[in-house]
Amino acid sequence: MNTTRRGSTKLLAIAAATALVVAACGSDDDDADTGGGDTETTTDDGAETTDGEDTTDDTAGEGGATGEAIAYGNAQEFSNYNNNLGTSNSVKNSIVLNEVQPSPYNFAGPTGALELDTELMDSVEIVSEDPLTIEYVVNADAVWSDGEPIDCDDFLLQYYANNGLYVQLDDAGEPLIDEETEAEVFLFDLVGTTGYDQMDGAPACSDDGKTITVTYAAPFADWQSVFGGQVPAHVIEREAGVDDLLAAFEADDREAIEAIAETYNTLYTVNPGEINPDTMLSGGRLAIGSWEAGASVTLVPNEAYWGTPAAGDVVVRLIAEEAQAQALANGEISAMDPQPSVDLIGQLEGIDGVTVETGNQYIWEHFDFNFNSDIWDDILVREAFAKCLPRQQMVEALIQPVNPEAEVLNNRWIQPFEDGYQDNSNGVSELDLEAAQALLDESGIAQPVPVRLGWFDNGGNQRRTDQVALTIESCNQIGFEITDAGSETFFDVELAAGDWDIAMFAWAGSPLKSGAVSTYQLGSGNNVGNIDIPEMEPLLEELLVTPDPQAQIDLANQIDILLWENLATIPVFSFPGVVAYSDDVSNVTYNPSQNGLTWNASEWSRA
Amino acid sequence: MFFFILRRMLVAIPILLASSFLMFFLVTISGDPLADLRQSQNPNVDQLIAARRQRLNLDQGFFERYIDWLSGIIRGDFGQNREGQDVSALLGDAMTTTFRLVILATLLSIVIGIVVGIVTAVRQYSIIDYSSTFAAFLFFSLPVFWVAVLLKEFGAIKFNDFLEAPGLSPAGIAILSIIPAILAFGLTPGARRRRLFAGAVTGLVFLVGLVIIDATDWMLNPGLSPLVVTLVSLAVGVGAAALFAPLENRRVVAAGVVTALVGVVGSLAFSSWIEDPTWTQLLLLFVLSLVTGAVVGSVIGGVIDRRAAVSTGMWATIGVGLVVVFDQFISAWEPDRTIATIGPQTPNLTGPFWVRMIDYAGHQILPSLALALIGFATFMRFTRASMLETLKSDYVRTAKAKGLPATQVIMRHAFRTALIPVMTVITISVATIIEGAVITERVFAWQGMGSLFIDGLNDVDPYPVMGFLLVTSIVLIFMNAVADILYAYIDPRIRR
Repeated sequence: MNTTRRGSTKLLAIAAATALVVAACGSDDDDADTGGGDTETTTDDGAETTDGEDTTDDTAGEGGATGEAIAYGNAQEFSNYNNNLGTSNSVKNSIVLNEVQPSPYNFAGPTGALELDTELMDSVEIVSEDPLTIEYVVNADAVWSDGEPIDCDDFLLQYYANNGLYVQLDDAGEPLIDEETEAEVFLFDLVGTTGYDQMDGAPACSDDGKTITVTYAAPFADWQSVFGGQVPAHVIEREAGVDDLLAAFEADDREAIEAIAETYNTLYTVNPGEINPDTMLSGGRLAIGSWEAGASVTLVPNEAYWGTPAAGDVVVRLIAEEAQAQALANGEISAMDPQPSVDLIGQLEGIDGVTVETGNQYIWEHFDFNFNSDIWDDILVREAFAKCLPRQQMVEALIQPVNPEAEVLNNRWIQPFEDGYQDNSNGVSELDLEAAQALLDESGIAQPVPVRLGWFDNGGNQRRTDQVALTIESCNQIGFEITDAGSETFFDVELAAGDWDIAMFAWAGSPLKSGAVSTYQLGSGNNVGNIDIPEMEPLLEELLVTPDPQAQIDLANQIDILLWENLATIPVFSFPGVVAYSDDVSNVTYNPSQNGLTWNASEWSRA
Repeated sequence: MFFFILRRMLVAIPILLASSFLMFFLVTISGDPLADLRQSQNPNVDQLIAARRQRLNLDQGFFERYIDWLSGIIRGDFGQNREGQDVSALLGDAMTTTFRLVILATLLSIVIGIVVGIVTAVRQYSIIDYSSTFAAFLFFSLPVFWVAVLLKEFGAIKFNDFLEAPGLSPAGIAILSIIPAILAFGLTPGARRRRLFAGAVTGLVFLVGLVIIDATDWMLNPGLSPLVVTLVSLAVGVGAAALFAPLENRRVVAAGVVTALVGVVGSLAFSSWIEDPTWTQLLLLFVLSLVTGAVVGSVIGGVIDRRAAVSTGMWATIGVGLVVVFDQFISAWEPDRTIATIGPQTPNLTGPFWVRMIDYAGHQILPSLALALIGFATFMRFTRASMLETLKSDYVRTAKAKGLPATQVIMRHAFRTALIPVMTVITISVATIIEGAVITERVFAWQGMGSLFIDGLNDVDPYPVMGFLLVTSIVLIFMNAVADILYAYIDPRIRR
């Protein structure tokens, strides 16, 4: 009895305390000053005062940074300020560096086409077509954030680091040879020598260093793609302990060049969160303000910038793609562009106050014939396959739920959203099972024709699994007997070994036309199906050396028509892309290129 | 005992070696580190492959690479990841993040699990017992990533929406009042009428409270007025006294009340510290208040009741401190979507102490909760079963028969014995929680050990994965050793 009575007294005490807490609603007081709590203390954006001419948007005229930073979600953490290294070259870095480093041309706008940065460059002109000679004139006011001018040194460092002329030596002073590939190992860590190795010696500099003249030994179609994402040469020079970077290269001073290469390769390889304001300079509208390891990189307006100042701070937050939609819904990020899926689109469209835009990417799916396999010797058999391949059905069932505008891709060189796209297929790959059967019969091949369909099957790609199922279901109705030869080692083993009859995979393209040439050239490693079309080879060669954009388009379409006439491969669709942003943010624009959404991050502003 | 511990530690070394060998092997055969280059259309692809093979020592055999890694570890060098970043630096960042998550989640699940376990054992087959059991099994069987997504949807997005324009519908008020009423009904001992009464009173208190909260827009502008702080503190003082002595004991009650008043006055005197403190100041205040509580208690308690009064004083100051902190906390609250779905904190966070604390709390709560739910079920079920067994034992019946108060029988006699099996489960369950953290971190975008592991595996990059393996295995081996030691300490039979 006693115990229970005490229990109940306690209960009343607790209830009374609860009541008091709950009744504490008078509320009011002492939060008057918390308003100042999390306002961003953004410093005004630099020396430029309001520029009357500035018509792009008016937030830049308000003396900058109204409201809080705009956050963008990305799934991988920034790792290296030098994104031209083969080791670190990645979208996760270009997302941060797009507007930090100077690039004469940027992949801009909704088509991702190369566009001249008119604030960095006064002009870029083709001064001669034979030999192809380009004159770059850098804006006289263009400086790195430490005050050093952006000039010839920076261009030349890119040339020397990427031309592939310098290789690692072994202890005996002989070039080091890798056993497996039997290739030499570059001294500078690089992504590719394309463009630079076609230059006829080092570019020439004017006395003031602001004019750079590049002469190509052979014309290079995509000359606009070089000199992007520059790192400050004077910093490399200083950190390498070299007196004169250019003199070292000109004198071919091996010791100094090795010191430069070492610095170039490793100076910016830092652990997460370590930013060095003295070496990670800005030569663009934005500068790296801070880096919280494992969480975010904050881009702030570059105070030394000479042109249109950035609208405000941009925070690149590290968020796995599957977590981004809810972060957007909760206002923690304002923009995102993950790999889309049907579920994701549905989820995004369910969020209030968010705009969702879908489009195409430069990545496209295709089926390749293996010409080493004698099944395909007769074009009639290839045409029969093209007519049983349910391309329209794949697009409707698998792609349109994500991108309603998606259509069947009928061009291997030009994407539907680019200038010059045309349907070159001549209807050769329109689903028609009767015609397909007739073609097979006409070819006289023994039926059923056994076909191994090879693809990269890691068990996690439902879309590709469905594509294979659709293909088998359709083509096995006529005289084909297609088997699913998907494998987890497809790219490492089967593809190169030719262990397939039909391969299904995707190419990652770009607005640059010359990059895809090697895919169709006989003898090239990328020509996995061993495509051999003699009349196409000179056209491919010509495309490599044609800088004129319209001529490129014409050539690309001519080549594509030949590829269709010979039915070498069958393109299916462009991968869909998506961007979602909250409605209070303006100037976020879809960009299909690999540089990602932040191509114009300096213009993002709160509406 | 020393040799017992030493033996346990020595046994761990071959286990570690074997597991590291196996793990290294598994990671290196898990994929092709050159896969991305092999798909490249780049004309320089041979040279690029050559460069990566040289840099990552892929030209060496598996054993050479493993020995290379092992000798690095012995020298204290964890190596570098594929991009040349130091694994030790990555591990440092990752460990801080993960342990911040895991420790709080473990504590939460232990405390809630044990408390609920005791209550359900004491009130076996009550409505509380049934609903807790239902909840425990529900949480136990839910996949953590799904719980995480639900928590984000309702705990963050919807809740933040609600707080931006808070308003309770009559139905909402009714539900929020009925739930505590049912809990009170289930918790109260004794006859049915008494329990109904307790339930009704609790429900009414909540009903009135919620109506007032709703009517005054308190949620938009939360805070406690000094008067309310004082009143609540007094109640806390009385409550603290009730823990250590019957309320009829005037001296102890007086100790509680006086300490509470001193605490309130003290909090006003130190208001400048309290409003924007540093951690040191906060610690100093904590120590100061404990001392004050003890002094007040010992002065008022006199000779006979000194012990109870000192305890009361100390607990009362802790209680008052919590009330004051709570007041600061909710006053710093802005309806600014505080409950976060991603990351350990807002980027570039600045501001007064309590604003930062709110931000941390807003980021910590959901992932901790998601993770705590995993452990909660285990702890609750184990505590319940263990308690039921001890409560039925002879010595507990004897204690009750002696006329000891129920709380004393439960807490001092039954609970301590019941804790033995629970203790071992706790230490071993840390493994489950770390395992759950791998997923939880990813869903909540905390860059911890989990992402180190997953990213390393995706890149076929053994070094970060090995770092993960080393740290987590050492933690687990340590926890297992702790379990062994604790068990041996509690139960001498195991020492041999």
